[in-house]
Amino acid sequence: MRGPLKIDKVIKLRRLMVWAWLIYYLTWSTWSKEAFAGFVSGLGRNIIWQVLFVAFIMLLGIEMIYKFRQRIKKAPFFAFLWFILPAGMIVFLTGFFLSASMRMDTRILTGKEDIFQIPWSQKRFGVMDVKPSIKERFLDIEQESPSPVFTREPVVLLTDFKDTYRVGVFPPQRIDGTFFHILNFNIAPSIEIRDSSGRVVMKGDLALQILPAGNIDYVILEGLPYRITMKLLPSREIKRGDITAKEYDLNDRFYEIKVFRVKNPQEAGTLITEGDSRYPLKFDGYSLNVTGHTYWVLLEVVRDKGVYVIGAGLILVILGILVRFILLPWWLREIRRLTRD
Amino acid sequence: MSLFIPEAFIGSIKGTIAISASWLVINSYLSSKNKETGPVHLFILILWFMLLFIAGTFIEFDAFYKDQIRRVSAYMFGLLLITAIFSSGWSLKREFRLFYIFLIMLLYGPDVMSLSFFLKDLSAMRQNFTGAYIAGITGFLSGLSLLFFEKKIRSGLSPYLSLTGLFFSLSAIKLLLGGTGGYAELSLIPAVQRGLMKFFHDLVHQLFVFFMVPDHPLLKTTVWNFIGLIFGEAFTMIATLCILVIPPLVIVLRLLKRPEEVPEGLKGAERRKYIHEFMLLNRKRAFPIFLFALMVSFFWFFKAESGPGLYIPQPVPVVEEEGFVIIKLKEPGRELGDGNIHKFILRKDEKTYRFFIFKRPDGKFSVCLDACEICPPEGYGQARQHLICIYCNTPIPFNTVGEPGGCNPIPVGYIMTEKEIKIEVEEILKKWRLVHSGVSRE
Repeated sequence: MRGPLKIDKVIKLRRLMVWAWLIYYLTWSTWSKEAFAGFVSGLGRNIIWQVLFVAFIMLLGIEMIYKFRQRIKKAPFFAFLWFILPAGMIVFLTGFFLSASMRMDTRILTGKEDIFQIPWSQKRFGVMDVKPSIKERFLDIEQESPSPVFTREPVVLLTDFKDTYRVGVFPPQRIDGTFFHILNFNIAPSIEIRDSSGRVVMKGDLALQILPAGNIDYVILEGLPYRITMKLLPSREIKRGDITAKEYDLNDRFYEIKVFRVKNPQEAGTLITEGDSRYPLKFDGYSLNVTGHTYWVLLEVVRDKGVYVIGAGLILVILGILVRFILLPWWLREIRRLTRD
Repeated sequence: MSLFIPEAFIGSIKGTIAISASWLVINSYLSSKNKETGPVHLFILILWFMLLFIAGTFIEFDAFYKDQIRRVSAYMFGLLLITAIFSSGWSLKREFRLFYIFLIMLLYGPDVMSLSFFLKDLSAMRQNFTGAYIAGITGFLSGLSLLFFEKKIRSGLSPYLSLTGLFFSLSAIKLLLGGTGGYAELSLIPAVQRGLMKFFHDLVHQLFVFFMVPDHPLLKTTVWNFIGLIFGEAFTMIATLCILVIPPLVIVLRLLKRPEEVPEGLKGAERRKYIHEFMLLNRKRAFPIFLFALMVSFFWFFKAESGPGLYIPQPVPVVEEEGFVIIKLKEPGRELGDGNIHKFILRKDEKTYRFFIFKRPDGKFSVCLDACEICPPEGYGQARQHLICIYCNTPIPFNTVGEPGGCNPIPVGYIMTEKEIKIEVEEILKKWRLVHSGVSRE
């Protein structure tokens, strides 16, 4: 890029692209709610967006290198300091592009002793254990975990049948280039439904949101016209003066169960029976038993090589901004001196 | 019956001043190019706005179209500002007067239509057609009186206006005087704030997605509140102000630092005089842009949405009557349609269910649970232009209250009669199962 005419064209084209993007964003955001998400997903799928974005990064790169070369002739030290911010922006945008276009992610609902597979690597993982990291006995007025950060800070022990990995909520655990972290977690009561002849017609763990205690959640039984709601019940009530607190014991937990008959999943249905999990619940010739409980976790699994580039870009941008602020007075003096010379 | 309604006068004079000021600024710019507009152009402009006003007065537009008109107004400001920022260094070889006339038509067309809706509503509410329209016409004529000073203003302004300066001046006028909410929204600042805050919120959220930061169901309220500072009003207000103010300031700095190109042959006093005039011209051209940044900064916090904090009313207990909760639209001390959030609490089977009724700005009532599908049910508070989720601080625009999903309150079906709203208790119980279930995240 030698002549000033050519660099002028690069700058004009780059500015035109920013202007066009801003107009696009403004238009989209005025008449649609999720303009930014739309742009990110478009960047991931649409080849036109991808070509334009790459072209923009290249134009920006050419412009920055040209300006850097001009500055380095006048004041090399300041040129390097000046370059941190634009370099950070280019790195950040490159990472953003890589992440938006190459990121693969999935969510996996799993529990203890499950085996699951990552779609893009075909690698299998086994869940060795789910550690809830919540108090075994707690009061409804104080039902959070001892963690200062998380209400519930579960940990999953995963194995790829060679090594064991500990996956928590944050930061994500990197296994073989793939990031894992827990997105959600709760109790999964295990139930068994038998028909009048004693044959097991349904058996499994229900992934319910019944923590924090007091929450009610439901499941619609597949193939059967019933909605079952469950709620964790307190093991005892404690009274101190006017204050009553309920104590929950996770080692000896039991649930309130209600069974509704539904015609379609949207309707609330008709209550046909209710009880607690200590006794079998009978309805329409069926018998429902809670046989135990485990924990379920929702894992977010992501393969994203761009995230490191984004991180590096962000650090450079923040550093560049700080440098520019700190050195601003010195900088202006130097520019004035150079201009005089 | 009063023959003069001040709100009508203020709404009308504000709109007319905005149009007149824009006309004067454009004429000042064009006069420096020897291309002044004439009475014919002014006549076309007035005719256009009269037609729009008459259309707004006599045609019944429903809430959807009114909302579209409001959007067009904010959109036009955005277009103008973006063009102003990027116009630095532009110079047009030929100036087309009709382009600028067309620009004013587009910029203030939605505002004039909104003014007609406002006057129509005001005259209906006060049952005083004459007072509203006399005040409106008085405001219109008073605003037009600015045009009598055209010659004086034009000669004073023209040295200050480059193309960029012109666009920034028009943006400033539109921003400060271009609201579409009649007397209630005198400027566009709240609308622009909302748009920019949404952009900033989305950007930060996308970074959280990239870095796999856990979502709030697993975080403690205090921790989420800490993270929420980034999404919070104070932080986003300052960040979005920077987005609006930094580009013009950079343009000002560039103008002031522009290297002078002294023609060869000029020496001594002549050279110094040339440089002085060059610098003076740059300073004059930088002035309107700087003024834009200064005015925006000043009015930004003055017109900020934050106000005294969230309005969180105490829920009023209600009882079930034959399977329904029935709430009267008007009761002594309470009017459901007053634009405030009205919370209610239903007790059934030793459990409590909170819900609220809210009349949106588009006139529709929304009945929602005081909880969403994601957060623990701590409920919502009301800010000036949003409902705010108390748990995660997410702003919910008023016109989206009643739409399901995400952090929006869970909508509940209801039956509306002339005097009351009826809500089926089963519906409340059914929807309450969705609370904190994360259904919309799955």
